[in-house]
Amino acid sequence: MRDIPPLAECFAPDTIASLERAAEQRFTTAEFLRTERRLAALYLYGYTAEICLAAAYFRSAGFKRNQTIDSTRRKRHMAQAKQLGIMTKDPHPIVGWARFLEWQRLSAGNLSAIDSQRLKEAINKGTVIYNYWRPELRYKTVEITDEQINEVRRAAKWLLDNREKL
Amino acid sequence: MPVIRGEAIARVITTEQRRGVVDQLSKELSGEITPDGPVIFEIPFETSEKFDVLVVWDAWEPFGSEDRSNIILEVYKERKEMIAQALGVTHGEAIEQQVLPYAVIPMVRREEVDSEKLKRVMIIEGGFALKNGKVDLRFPTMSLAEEAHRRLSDEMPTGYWSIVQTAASIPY
Repeated sequence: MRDIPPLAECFAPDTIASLERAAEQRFTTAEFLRTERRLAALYLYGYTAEICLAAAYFRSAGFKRNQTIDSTRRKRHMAQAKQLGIMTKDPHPIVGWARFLEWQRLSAGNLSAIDSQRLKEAINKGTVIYNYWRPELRYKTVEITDEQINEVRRAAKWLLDNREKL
Repeated sequence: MPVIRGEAIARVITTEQRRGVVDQLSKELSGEITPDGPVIFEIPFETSEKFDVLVVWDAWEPFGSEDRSNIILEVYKERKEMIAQALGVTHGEAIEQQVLPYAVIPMVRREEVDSEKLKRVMIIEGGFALKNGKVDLRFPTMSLAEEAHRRLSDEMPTGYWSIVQTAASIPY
């Protein structure tokens, strides 16, 4: 019998480029599911937002597009955000990533008024999504209304469309 | 009903306190061992000359996050341009935040080796001497843990050293 390697052993390390590709794929899949499977779509829109914001943060922290972001390095950056009090202990802190991104951009200086406004908007979009989204959704069977899915979709799309400007 | 009032805790860092931390960190960086000194990890990037600096030290406790980072950058002087991230954490924070996920532990029975010698070599490799007398030897990356494991196996083969990836503290 042919040996099939476990999928986890085939994962390439994360990079900004691979994270952005993953965000696009999560969003595309959510679009397919939006009318028939709203909860699953909302779940994926949430991850789209988290991945976009994390990728934007690492870009702002000086990572190159194809530079490896391994899990230990990611944890160290998250540890700093928690120390600063801008990220919670939640393992998927969408709003925390948006705030940490803003902090990093502010620390680097030379932020234009438009950039500053855009970063505030990213925090707003993250907050909107986090009103409805949690990783625990995967265990749930709650009904998601049109209004809720549309609100989350709009926010996730904004983050995806603006990811390179954040 | 009772009135329960919380007490505000203001942390004021004196100039002397800050200077003491800077001086001790500078000494450690230049290779001098100081009592209750920090453990400094320099973690290189694969495709860049830059590196992260992680300083694990209980003396950070009263300092805020940005103070800690600024002190690390100050101590590195001209090399600070090479630092991608300067992070200071206490041992407790390091465990809680899982920034030291690789533990190197001896797999011996208590009578097999000199326990004090075992602890000494662990401290030399960067182990944290805990208040309960135990030592916790941990690393931020697998490659740093493997290097320490190799040195420890050469220095004290009867330690039967092992590397464990864990979020929990497993001191010897």
